[in-house]
Amino acid sequence: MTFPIREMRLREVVEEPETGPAERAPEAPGDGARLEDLAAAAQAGDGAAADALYRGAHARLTRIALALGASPDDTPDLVQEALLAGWRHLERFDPRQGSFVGWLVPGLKGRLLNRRRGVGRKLGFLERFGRAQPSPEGAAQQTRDALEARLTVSKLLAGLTDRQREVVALYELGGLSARETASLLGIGESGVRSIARDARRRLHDEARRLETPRVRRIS
Amino acid sequence: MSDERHGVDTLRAAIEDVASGLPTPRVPPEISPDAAAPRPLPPPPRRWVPTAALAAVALLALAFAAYLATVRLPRLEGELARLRAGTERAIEPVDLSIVSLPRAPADVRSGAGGEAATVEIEPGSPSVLLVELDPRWLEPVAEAYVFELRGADGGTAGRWSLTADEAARHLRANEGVPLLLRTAAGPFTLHLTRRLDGRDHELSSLRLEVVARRDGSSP
Repeated sequence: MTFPIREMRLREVVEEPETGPAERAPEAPGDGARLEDLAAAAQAGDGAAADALYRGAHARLTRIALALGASPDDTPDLVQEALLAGWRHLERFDPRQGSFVGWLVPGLKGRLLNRRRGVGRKLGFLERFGRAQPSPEGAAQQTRDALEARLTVSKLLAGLTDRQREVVALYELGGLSARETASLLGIGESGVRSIARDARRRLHDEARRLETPRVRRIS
Repeated sequence: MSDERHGVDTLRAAIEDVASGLPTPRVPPEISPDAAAPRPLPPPPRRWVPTAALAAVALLALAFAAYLATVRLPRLEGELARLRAGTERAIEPVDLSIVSLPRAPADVRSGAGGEAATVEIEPGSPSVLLVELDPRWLEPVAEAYVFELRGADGGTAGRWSLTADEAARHLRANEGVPLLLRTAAGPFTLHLTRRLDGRDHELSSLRLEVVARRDGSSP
């Protein structure tokens, strides 16, 4: 079953006029300046712009990393490494090709993937040798609220497919446009919107389930 | 539609909670404006230890040089002068007397055998009597040659022994056999005996008049 391109675009506009990127809360990079403008200033040698660029991109990359399923313990290092790699090749960034955060996302995803592979190998090694999985670092020091937040994120993301998780991270929470998200994921913009819609429904159902108190029937 | 975003908002809030619990990002020095400015060079390391050590060594060297110039060298020169004087005394003893033994033993009782040799000594210091031998007395298979100094009463005032090899060495060097005299003034008789096959055979004898040097001065 195929649709003419014009029809598909029409459907997109009709179906999601209110849930698209325009409705999402605007991201606020440092000092209200766009990250792309800060990146251009940093390319010109503006140290203050580089500082603001780092801080603004750090917050957004942190949310994206967490939404992609990165461990909160690993997230600071992942984001730091991705930002430093971007800083070292800042001259290659072209705002005409996309947003600054979108330019950093492939590096972040690659590092996250490598980290997961490393953790998988480590856990496999421990399992083969019959050792218990180590507890998360610093879990004993985490407050209850932080643990609950981590648990909520984990449960909500667990109900999504990998593709839905990527779309949520980039498109819904990361502030990237549908076009840039589609470009990064190698799918069409309509696919991004469709996946986002399905993901929202799943998240909604999962959130409702989490909010419903569980009553244990004794008798 | 807003209800559809409930799940996304829940996920966003949880992620914000998790992100707020992560360490506050610090702009790496590589990106910070402070890092962009050239860092002042660190102060040169303090080299007081080598300097102090060199100064101490130099002071020690100066002190040692002063000690040598003022104390040690004069002492050494004094010791060297004393050694030189002693050596010269040893090379040219003032109490050296040279006598030649006659080819036949003297008849002490009859007074035959030539005139008595006069030997001057300095009381209180040893005197050397250099006795010249006749090469014909040398017998390679002789067991020993014995010099015996007898007093007027027949008692032994001194006895010296040397092997045939020692006697031959003295003869080859064309030098006499040195005998160290520790006697008082008086008449003596010096006997030379060769021991061969367990028997003693007197080769020569000489009457000695040992007299004390009157003025005590060296010749």
